[in-house]
Amino acid sequence: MLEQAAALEVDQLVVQRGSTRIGPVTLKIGCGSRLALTGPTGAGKSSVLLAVAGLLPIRSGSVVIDGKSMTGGSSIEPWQRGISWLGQERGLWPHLTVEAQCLLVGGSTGKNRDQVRTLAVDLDIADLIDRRPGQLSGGEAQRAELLRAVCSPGSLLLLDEPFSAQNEAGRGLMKQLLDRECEQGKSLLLALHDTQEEIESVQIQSEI
Amino acid sequence: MNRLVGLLSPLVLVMFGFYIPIIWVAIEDGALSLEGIRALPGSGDAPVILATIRVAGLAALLATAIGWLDAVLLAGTRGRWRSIVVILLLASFLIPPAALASAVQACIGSSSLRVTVRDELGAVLMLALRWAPMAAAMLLGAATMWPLAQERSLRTLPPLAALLTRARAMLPGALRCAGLLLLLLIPAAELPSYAGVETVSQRILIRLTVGDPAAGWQLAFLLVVLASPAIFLLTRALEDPSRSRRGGGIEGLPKVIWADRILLVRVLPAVALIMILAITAWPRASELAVAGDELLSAALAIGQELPRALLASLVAVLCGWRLADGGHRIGLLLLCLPTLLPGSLGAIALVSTVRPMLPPFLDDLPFLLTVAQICKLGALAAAAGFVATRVLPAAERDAASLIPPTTARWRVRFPRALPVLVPAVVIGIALVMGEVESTLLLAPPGHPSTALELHQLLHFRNDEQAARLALMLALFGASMSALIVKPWRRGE
Repeated sequence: MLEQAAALEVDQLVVQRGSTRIGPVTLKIGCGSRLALTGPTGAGKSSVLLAVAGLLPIRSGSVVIDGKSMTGGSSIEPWQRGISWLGQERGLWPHLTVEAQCLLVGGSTGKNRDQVRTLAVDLDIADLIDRRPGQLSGGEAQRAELLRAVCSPGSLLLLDEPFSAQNEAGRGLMKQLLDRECEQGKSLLLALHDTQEEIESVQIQSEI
Repeated sequence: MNRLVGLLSPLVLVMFGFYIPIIWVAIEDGALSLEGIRALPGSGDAPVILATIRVAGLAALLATAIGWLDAVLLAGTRGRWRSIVVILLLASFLIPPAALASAVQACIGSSSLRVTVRDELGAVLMLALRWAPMAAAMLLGAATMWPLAQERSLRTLPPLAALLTRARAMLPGALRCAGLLLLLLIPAAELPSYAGVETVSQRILIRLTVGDPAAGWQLAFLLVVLASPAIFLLTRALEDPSRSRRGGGIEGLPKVIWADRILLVRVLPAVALIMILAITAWPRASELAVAGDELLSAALAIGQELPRALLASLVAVLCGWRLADGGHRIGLLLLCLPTLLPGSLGAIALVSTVRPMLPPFLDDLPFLLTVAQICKLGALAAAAGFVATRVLPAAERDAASLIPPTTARWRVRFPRALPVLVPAVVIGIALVMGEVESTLLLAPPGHPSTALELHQLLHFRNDEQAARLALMLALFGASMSALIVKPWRRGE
């Protein structure tokens, strides 16, 4: 049997954030699979995600996305890595409506207007996508940001605490959407406080 | 390669409008020849350099201290008249200093004024009071970077504790502001000759015009060499654009009565200056019709000058933002340096080198004047660009880094920088409208320049007409200030 193609391969990744050294971390995610990074607060889950996204420098180790090494001689910018991003802090741009942001990150190869509206219905924010982020509650803004992330053409979704501002219903909607995205071939790397039964997890450790 | 283009494209105008002409003329004047280098500025210039740095440094520190207090009270308390206070303070900055000095002389007599400002202390006080509103404006603009969550938790503190915490949080910005003001004040172009303080700028110009140009150029280069490391250090934190904007309007800000009183005292000099100007401008009964015509023609001249001033300010600020957005610290340094030298220096170089090469039709257009004024706005543009890049919260910047760079720059980062860039453009317009040094040398014949007209009126001691023109400039400045103040008070 052929081995499943890897969407992300991280090997002995070490990240330095201030005086804290995070890792080494080794993990592999197949296409259409999901993996959670877990660990206590301050363990460095977000730092690993940032490093995979190219938003934090790597001290040692390697990151390979869709078979392309991200840690070679020539630097590969975050927008060239084929990833989608949902950060721990709200990163919606306040000067654009939710729909405009989705179409902007989608570009010519991402989701079109009709697809964006369909996904917004799935996340129960269909009547909010003409609004700007300042007019959304915390939970709505988080779902809108997930909507923006899935509208990007990237095949690897990096999600940092994606359910933190959600009640049970909101969490359920988001999980259903993510399930569908996985079925369509997208892969997920999540940073979570707690392990979740349905998601395989890797413990992150750090030392000062 | 992209990075190189990003560095060079915003600097094209400054290169052709300042550096190349300056170096060309300096070589022609022998400043870079073997003999010239042997006769480098000697110890005779040291006292002038030290005096200039002392006056500019003390004035920058004092202006920043006053502006810091203004900014803390204006951003940290609420009251009915906050917007009016900011408008009055900024309007007092936007009135050309020569017009104010003339009006004050006309009102209280020139002899008493001269006694007051005859020494260094007077020069420091004059520059500090004039530039304090600018420091307050910069720090108020920086206050919009305060993260929303931190702003909200600050508003839960008792008023005095909140103000002290806010003041401490503004301190790093205030120190940078003092550095920038030092750069802007070192030319000390606003110091009248009767202030009794010889500055480096005055000495450079004397040498250039009295027959020792090589020594003048060398002194100018020495000034640049001395100041460059400081400018480079000022942009050190460019790589850490992690701040976000203040939000939530004024809800939760304390009403503090003593803050109202301090601001009332603070605004009195500005009101007094504007009143003096208005009294000087007020016509006698027999002059009403003439005065009306003068006011109308002044308004028309300002209207005619406005599009060019807007263009110059817009280009300069965009160049500054583009360099800061790309993290080009060397580029920001090169953009800042022309501000450091007297405006006449660049104008003289443009007249000698570029003007003879221009096609004749450009002689009738204020092309060279606009280029010179763009170069002169370098420090303001660099500061605006620097602040604007730090406005964007890290989370938003991270999200923007996942889309193609050009889209991210113009659809996300540029619109988010506008709350800083628009006030900078407005201040730049006011500075261009009041600029005299380059205008004297480069304005084409018949070109409407309010600054030049004001200069001529003051030269021929026509104080009343000058006051009317200055009053129109003050009204124009106040209306421009109102454009800046609204977003600040809303925290948007």
